[in-house]
Amino acid sequence: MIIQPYKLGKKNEFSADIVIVGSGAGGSIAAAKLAEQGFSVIILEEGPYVDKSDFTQEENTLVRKMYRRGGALATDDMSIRILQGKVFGGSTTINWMNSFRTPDHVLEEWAVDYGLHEYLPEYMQPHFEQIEQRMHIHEVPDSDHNQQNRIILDGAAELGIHADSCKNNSKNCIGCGKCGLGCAYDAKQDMRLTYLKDAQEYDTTIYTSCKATEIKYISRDEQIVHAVVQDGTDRTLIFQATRVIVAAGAIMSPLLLQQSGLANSKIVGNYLHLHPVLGSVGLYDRKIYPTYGIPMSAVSHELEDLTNGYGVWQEVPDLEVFLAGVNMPGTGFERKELMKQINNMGVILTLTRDGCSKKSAGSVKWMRGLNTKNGHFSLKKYPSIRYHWDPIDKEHALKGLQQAIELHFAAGATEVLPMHSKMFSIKSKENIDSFFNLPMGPNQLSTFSAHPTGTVRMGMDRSKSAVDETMMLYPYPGIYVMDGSTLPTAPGVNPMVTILGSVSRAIELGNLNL
Amino acid sequence: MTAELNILQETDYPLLWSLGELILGIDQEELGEEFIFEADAFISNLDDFLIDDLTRLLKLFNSRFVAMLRVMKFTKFVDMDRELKKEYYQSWTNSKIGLLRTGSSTLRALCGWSYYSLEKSWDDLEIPGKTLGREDKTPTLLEGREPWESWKEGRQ
Repeated sequence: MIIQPYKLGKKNEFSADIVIVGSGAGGSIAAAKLAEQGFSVIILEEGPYVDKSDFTQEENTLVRKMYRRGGALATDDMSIRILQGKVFGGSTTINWMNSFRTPDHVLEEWAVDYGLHEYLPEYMQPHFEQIEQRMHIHEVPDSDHNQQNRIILDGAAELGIHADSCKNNSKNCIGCGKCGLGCAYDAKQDMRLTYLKDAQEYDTTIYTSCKATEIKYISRDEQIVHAVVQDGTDRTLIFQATRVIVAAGAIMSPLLLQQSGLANSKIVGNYLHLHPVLGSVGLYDRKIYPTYGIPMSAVSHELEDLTNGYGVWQEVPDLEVFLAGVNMPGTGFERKELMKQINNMGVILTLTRDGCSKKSAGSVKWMRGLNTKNGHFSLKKYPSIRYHWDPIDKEHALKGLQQAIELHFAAGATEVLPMHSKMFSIKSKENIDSFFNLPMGPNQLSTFSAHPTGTVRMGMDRSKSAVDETMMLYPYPGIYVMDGSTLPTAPGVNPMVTILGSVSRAIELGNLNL
Repeated sequence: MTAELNILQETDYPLLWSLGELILGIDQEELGEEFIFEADAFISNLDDFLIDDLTRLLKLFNSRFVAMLRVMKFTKFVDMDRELKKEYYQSWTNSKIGLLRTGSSTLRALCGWSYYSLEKSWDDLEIPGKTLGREDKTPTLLEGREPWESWKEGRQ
């Protein structure tokens, strides 16, 4: 049952066996699995309820409605813009459908470095199989790649490097190219149409536009969650539960734990991974139509292992017009003229598996006082997101960017413009090096992210981890964290299936100790 | 426009239009009031502390004193000629001071969003449009059409 604010009665207090904060990948699969076992489950979702009829393909209204900070989420210094859903179904409602399993070498790294032997590939495989079946995850057929994905496939063939088709979670997709605005055709098999549907079949109640603001740990079997209705009334609801699962994502989960005084470990809020993304624009003398077609249907993993399993991979975006408008290089007339070539444009995204040095490169925390990154000053607490490129990750990213430019030329681009505050046109592959003489600091080299993970990381050593292998928060046996924040390292692939698989495995392992 | 602004005021129009013209290369007439209203909606959607920051940034960017420090002219941004505006904005974009580059990136995002998230910008870019109800007239996977030509025909 979905409870939207207008359906709320006078009652302000509710109870269930389990209250889950967040309806994204982690919260949804947890709800479905626990409700199926007969537990009563309530989900609190901060964002609004949406269904197919809301997905009108209007960029301004939908991005404002469904993205965190209306699409303007970024690190404090604005150097990395972060796309994250704040809507029924979480980021799965607005993502680009890429559905990779966690690579084996990543799961093996989790076992060696974090003691997570229960997540080795042989244990994860059945979970991935179930998820793939439920979400209709399949390989995109060769006939369905759009011209933009062909740049990766054809360019890689020309260069003699790796490229392949990706898997995605769709059924009867017509390739409208508007995945980021919610699927108007219900082709994308996101949480709304899969695990949230399953959870509702087992009587889960979902409160949308309802933001959890505080969790009170009373005892092992008694927790209280305060939530504020997001309809302008600021009405507070109180939920009592035996267990609470925090599944609000790697940005909001640590903030909620800190706000609730439950972040005893210094790990909570640190070790933010972003899979930072660099972009390059290729101009072609043929129509590419990058705003249409299935996004991310092709990938090149040629540089995925540059140092100890860390490196980069290449994909292409669902290029909504606003994304191009915000991120194109240059200013003034030359920028306008570049935008006018959008139909002949192909964009390659170079994603970096960050965290190679194992140091914390980023954090999500409440702050007071002066923020030197953006000049903000306040005596009231405000959330701060910080990220500094680790030098090894940056080196990997720049190597990846160079390869992306080569892919463009190999696929027939007449000109390539990396996304940088300065418009720099590379006219031939012999001329690529000159671009790398430009300054590459924050707000110079344009950088994005859609994969924040790792701020409440999982591991068996309490001094280095915030949750154990069952995703129980140290040292609070009634509180669990089940979302991308618990991934101990960046997964090195688009994270949806990794989040689903790891939560599914955690429930199998511990079942919340119920 | 009958709608009301939430954060911005009518006195902010010249600044927003000047920024749009400089950053996007699109003149004031083409940007229109919709651009201002979209910027206002964008700002309204931010967390309260960021709304304060952004309105402060707009004031700072238009301040004579900051201009004096950056380009040695005691002139508001809106009153600068085109070349000086460009020089002033570039002095933020290329600055070694990270905070100024943050300001420049913020203004770029604000302007880019406020124009290109509007459907009216699609005409100028010759984007074939929404697919809903016109799947066969847009470059979707439905075969048997010349999307670009069909789209143009459909608009005539």
